[in-house]
Formats: sequence, C-alpha cells, structure tokens
Amino acid sequence: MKKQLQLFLREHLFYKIAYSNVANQFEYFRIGIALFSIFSFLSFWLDYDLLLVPDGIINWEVTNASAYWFEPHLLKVSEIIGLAPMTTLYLVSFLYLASLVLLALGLHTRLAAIVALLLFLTLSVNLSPFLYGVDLYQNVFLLFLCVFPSGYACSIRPLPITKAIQNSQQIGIRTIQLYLGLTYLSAGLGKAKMASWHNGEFLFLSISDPNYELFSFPDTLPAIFYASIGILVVTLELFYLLLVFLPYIRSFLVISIVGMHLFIVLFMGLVPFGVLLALVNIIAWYPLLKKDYSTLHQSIISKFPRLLATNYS
Amino acid sequence: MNQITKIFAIGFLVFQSLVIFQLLPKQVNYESYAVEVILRIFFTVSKVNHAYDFFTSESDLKEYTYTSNKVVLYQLSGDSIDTHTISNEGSITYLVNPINRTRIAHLQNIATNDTLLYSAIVRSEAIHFLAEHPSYSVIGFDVLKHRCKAKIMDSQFVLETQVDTVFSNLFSMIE
Repeated sequence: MKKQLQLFLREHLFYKIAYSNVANQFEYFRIGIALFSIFSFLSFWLDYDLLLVPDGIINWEVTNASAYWFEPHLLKVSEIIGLAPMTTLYLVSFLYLASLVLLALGLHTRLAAIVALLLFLTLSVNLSPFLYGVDLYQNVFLLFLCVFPSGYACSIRPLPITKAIQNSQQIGIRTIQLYLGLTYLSAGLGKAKMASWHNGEFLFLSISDPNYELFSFPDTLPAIFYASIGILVVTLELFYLLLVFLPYIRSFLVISIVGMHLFIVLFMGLVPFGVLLALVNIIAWYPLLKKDYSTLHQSIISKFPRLLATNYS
Repeated sequence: MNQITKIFAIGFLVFQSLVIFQLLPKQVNYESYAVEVILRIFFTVSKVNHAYDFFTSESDLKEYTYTSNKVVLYQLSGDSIDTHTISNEGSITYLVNPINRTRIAHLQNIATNDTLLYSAIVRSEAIHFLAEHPSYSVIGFDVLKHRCKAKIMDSQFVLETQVDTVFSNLFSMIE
C-alpha cells in the first residue's frame, strides 16, 4: 500500500516537474501564442476604419488624453518620429506582425517576443477602450515568451538544446499551468459567491444578453439544465488545480474546460477569448490526455483481446 | 538561466496569488512619484495586479444589466426631418465584424459606468458618424440600461427586462 502510494505520488503529484510536460511543449506554446496574436490583431483590421484609425469611433485624441505621459500612444510616437499618424499605425502594425511571424517560425525568439510585447503594449494604449480579458491573457503569455527560452525546436533554424534550457522550458510550462489554475480559481471564487450562478439564472441571463451573442442558444431548455451547467462551471473552476491531479478525471476536466470555452465562442460571441483559452489549455495538458487515452486503450486491449482481434480482422 | 526563470516564475505566481486572494491593499498612497511611475510600468507590462473574476462583479450580485444604444442622424429637409438610424436592434455592435462585437459591447458597458468616459466616447462617436454621413448635421444618442431578471415558469426561465434611459444627447457640428 505504502509502495503504491509512493508510486502514485511520484507519478501524479503536480509539483513533479515532468508531470504533463513533454519535449517541444513550450515550442508548441510559442507557435500557438504567435499565431493567435496574429489572428487577434488581424481581426482588428477587419474593422480598421472604426477601431484602428485616428478618426475611428474612438478618436486617438481621447485615448491619448487618457494615457499617462509615459505610455507610448501612437500619436506621441508619430510626433517623435516625425511621421503622419496613419503611417505610424502602418509601421507599428507591420513591425508587430513581423515580430510575431519570426516568433512563430522560431527565429530570434526572445528578441521577437520582446518586440512583440512592447508593440502589443503600444497598440494597447490606443485600443484600450476595446480591450477585455483576452488581451490580459495575451499580454501575460507574450511576457512568458520573453522570459522562458522557446526557439530551440519546431523552428526553421533549430538549435541544440541543453539540460539547462530543457529545465527552463519545464518551469515555463509549469508556470503556464499554475497561472491558468490561479485565474480559474479567481473566476470560480467570484462565481461561488453568487447565488445566481448556482441556480442557473446568471448563465441564462448572460446567454440571453444580445450584446454577447454569435449564434442563438435555444431558449426552451429547462431551468435545471442552466443550474446544472452553472454548478459544473463553478466546480471545475474552483477545483481545477486539484482535479488535474487525478487520472481520467483530469481528462474530463480538460475536455470540459475546452468545451466551456468553445461554448463561449459560439453562444457568447467572445471569439478571441474562447479560442485563446481553449488553445492554451490543450497545449498545457495534452500529455495527460494522451496518457489517459493510452492507459485506457491498453486496459481495454488486455481485458478484451478477443473482441478487439475480431474487430480489427 | 534556470535561477532567473525560477525567480520570475515564483515571483509572478506568488504576486498573482496575493492579488487573487485579495491579500494586498487595493490602493496605496505612494510617497514618491518616481516609485509610482515605475510600479505603473511594472504592472502594465506584467499585468500581475489583475484579478480574473470574469462574469462576476459586485453589481451582478444584485441584478444582471446590459446596455443598448439608439444612434440616429437628423437633417432638416424643408418642413420635414430626414433621419438615418445607425444602430441596429439597439446596438452599434452590428457595425463591426461578429468577431469584434464583444469589443464594442464592452466599450458600451464601461462607458455607461463612467460619466467622464461616456462623455468623451459619445462625442468621439458623434464626430466619427457625422464625418461619415456629411449630409446630416445632428446626431442623437440614447443609452438604455436593461435590468434583467429570470423568472421560472413551467420549469423554464423566462426573461423579464426593465429598460431605463440613462443618457440622451444630441450633438451637432454646426457652430
């Protein structure tokens, strides 16, 4: 029993750095964040005449006036470098996209990440009235790419990876996993205080909010459905960091969390938010999903060899 | 290298935990302006001072609210008034691509909670729409707050909404 417990702890304890940590995982994170950042920024360009240009619905004068003197608003940048505001926007956009492409390709990744983060912060000063939770996450993930090494594999110019680099990447993956867990805990604590999350009322009302809607969700479902989903969401968020210890349950957790974010994309219209969180959850925990799947597969094969042999033949 | 990444990871996660568990003071009076600026830059880059309480807020404890807009352009044409409605189904979010609607909805929500910001945003929007439609000289903004409740009828939720006009403004480019 004691030996089994020791084995279980060695195999599953969260603090063990190799837990849900495999080769190239941090590189996948780098590519995912770079591609997401490109997608997110290009989505602003879909409505550039309203969201991005100096005389859009929020005039640059407004965001410049509300920025601190040391915040690099594009209006100030254009005055300093002596270019027209629109030319400055094109220039900064080009440099931002170029740094993200370099990051995705794995070239000069730390420099590219630092440039991308600084330009993201610059653009954020201009776009501040339009920013919400997803931009907060994106900022933090770009910061992680500035700190942890990410350009050694999955690159068009791979570099030899040392033990020290591997360790740093493992710390990076663990930081992402814990950061995700903390943010879910924060969201779960807030929801747990609200009775309207336990009886499903808040979920029903937020799905009914016409401001947050991509596709309509059927409004004929019974109240018990919303209550069940509301309680499930609060439970998953509150106990995310505990449930991810437990074999098989952790797969249910990750699939449910990814499902929750896809629901947010489809029925609450928070497209970049849902896409980013689903993506990062998959990258952070896919080794556990693979492990649970292969264990389950092996146990089925060992218990029902004849059945599988019949099926395969 | 490992030491730097370890120190960063521990520092970041510990600070983030302190913020989430509300163990840090919400407001600090800085003795030095330089320290305030440095901390502001630090928090802008790291975002470590943010809590992640999405879909929760103090006001949501009492009721669920959202805002809608009615934006209409006016122009005198002889004895009558020509109108052109910019908003659609009570929102200007329909002006943008579906991917960006949430960004506009978020803008509407934060603006109604901050009178100064609302004033700046509405004036900015007025200038934009009047410049886009130069044949109109006056623009009207109505901001409506929808206070929502869900009542259970026949084991299903039914939406009940009370609508209040919180802002109503007319703007003109004519001096």
